[in-house]
Amino acid sequence: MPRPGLFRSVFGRVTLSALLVSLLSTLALFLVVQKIVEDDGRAMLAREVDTDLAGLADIYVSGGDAELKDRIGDRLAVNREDGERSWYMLADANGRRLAGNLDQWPSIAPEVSEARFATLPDGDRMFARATQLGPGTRLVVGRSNYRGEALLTRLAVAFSIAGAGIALLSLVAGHFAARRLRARVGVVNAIFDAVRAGRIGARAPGAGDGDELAELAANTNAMLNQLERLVEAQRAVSDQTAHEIRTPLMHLDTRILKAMESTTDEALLRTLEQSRGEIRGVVRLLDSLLDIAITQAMRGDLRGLAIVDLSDIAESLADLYGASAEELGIGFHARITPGVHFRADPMQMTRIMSNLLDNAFKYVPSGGSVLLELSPGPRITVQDDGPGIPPVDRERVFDRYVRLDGARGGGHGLGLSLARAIAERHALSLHVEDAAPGARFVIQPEDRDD
Amino acid sequence: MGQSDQISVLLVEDDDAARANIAAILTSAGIDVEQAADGAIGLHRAGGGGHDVIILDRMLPHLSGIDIVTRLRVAGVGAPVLMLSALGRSEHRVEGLESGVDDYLAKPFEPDELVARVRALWRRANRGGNHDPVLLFGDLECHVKARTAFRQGRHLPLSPKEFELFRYLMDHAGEVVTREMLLRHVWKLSFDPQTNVVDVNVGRLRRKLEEGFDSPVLETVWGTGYRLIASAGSVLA
Repeated sequence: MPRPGLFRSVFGRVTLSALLVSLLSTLALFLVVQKIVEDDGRAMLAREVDTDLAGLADIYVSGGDAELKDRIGDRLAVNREDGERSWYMLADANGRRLAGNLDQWPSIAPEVSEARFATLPDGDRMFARATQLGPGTRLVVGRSNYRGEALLTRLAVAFSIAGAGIALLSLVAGHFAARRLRARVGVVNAIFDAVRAGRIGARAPGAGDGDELAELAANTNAMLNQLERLVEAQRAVSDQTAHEIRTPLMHLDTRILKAMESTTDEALLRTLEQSRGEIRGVVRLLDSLLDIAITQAMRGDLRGLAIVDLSDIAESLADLYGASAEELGIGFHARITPGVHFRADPMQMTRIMSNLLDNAFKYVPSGGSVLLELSPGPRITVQDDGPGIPPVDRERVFDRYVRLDGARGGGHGLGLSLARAIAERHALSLHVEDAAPGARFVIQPEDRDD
Repeated sequence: MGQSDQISVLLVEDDDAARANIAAILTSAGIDVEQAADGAIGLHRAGGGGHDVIILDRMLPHLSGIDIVTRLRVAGVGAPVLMLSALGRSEHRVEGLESGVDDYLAKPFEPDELVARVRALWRRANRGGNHDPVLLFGDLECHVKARTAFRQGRHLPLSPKEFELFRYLMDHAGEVVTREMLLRHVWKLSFDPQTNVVDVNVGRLRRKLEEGFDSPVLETVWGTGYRLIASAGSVLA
């Protein structure tokens, strides 16, 4: 089985989920930290602004306008090293600047001592509070570029790096964990493949982890043990059945032979000989039934198969049946591509071809013809120009004990059942089609079936 | 042993009735039989040597026929083994033959077939690996290397398969050769097709052997197989 893609593999999905979760939680953590830092920074700014404003208001009260302007000038002269900038504006009732470094009154209401963030002309933001010092004087004090902003930038960088690190770690860890799990599940899957390929004794190695996968492996082994026991039991039962039936039949046959030795009565001898023939018939029936059952049970079991030269087998059978055909007045032709090889049980491949030939010879009238063809694939066809098989019977002929009218000679109607069981054992299909006139039996690989 | 035509057989079979019956068949065919009722005794006796052919039942209590064959071969006993079995399906035959058994016969069998198989095994073992370049029987000649056949000095036009058939019959001249033996050795088939393909092929060979001559040489043994017979008037060498 091909390995599933990253998104279809359960391990791939687990790895990706772990990655996503770690990224999302890093982001959430960052947002929380950012909020805390921001709130804290804002509180700090507010404290600083308020303290400054309160100081300046005191100076205004004690020193008046001129003193206040001086002090604002002093403050602006200080170059703060931490990069934080201070903003001041002392204005009259109309908003005209009396002192400070702001050109324009920000949109902050002094009447209610409002404090808020305001945008500076250069696009920067400051936190500022305004207040009405006197009827014609108002003052705004602001701070911008406070340290917190730099801290936030550093935090963002730190979290990005940490996030990338975590993502990478979870990918790597996920990848290795997934690979290990996939390998362990793969072992179990490989066991099933091996069993399907015919190595019924294949078992998962004992996984010592004691986890769910070890349990899965143990359950797999237990099930395969049971399967193997069943297969063995079936074999044993059929062997025993054969033994138990054949042995008394042999004794019966011996007794009939003894009886035949002690009589010269022609009619009795004929009857006894017929009885012996019937005993052989029962044995043959038993063999055929067991052959079919065993072959069906071996479906997909590749044990004992080897590369065989089907062309050789077909040639040998063509030779054997050629003489028969002449005797019966049937035209027999073989079109055999040399060197067709196939992984199979040679005896069974001989059997399947000879069963189909037997079948054709049974139904073709004298003067008819039979064609055996073998081509690479392998594709084996046996075609005759006999009466053919009506469409309703084309599947039924492969059932056990089905014999159509017009057959020459006897038989139990098991030949085609066995042929189909053999085909299926080798992952081949066997079907019959209309050869107009006549019937064509086709054996070919299962996946090429229509 | 083996010097004369006296064949000695060790028979290992657990079923008393079957063993008595087989022994009777072999004895009446002039074959010496030593009997063993189970695998252990059989193995012990076989280890003693002196048997031309060993007949083993496949399903013995305690020690199966196939196990015995394996142990015999390990112990260096080289006598050919004919395995008798109530498991007659072709799968079992192949399994038996692959495990070092020389021939396999399914129960029930024709008495003649059993005797034919035992004689064939004995002949094969005694002849060793040396094939005569020319097989002679009565007025028949089989030139193995040249792949040609003659009767009364006249060349017989045989097809390649007919020659194989003729040669196998000549190898077992005077003995019964069964259909199964022919299928296995001439056509390499380990099962019996439903139709009479063997009879037909033998029939064609018989015509080539007998047409234009005044006496039959290939007789049908009813229910069993065929036998080459020395033609009347000719003297067996």
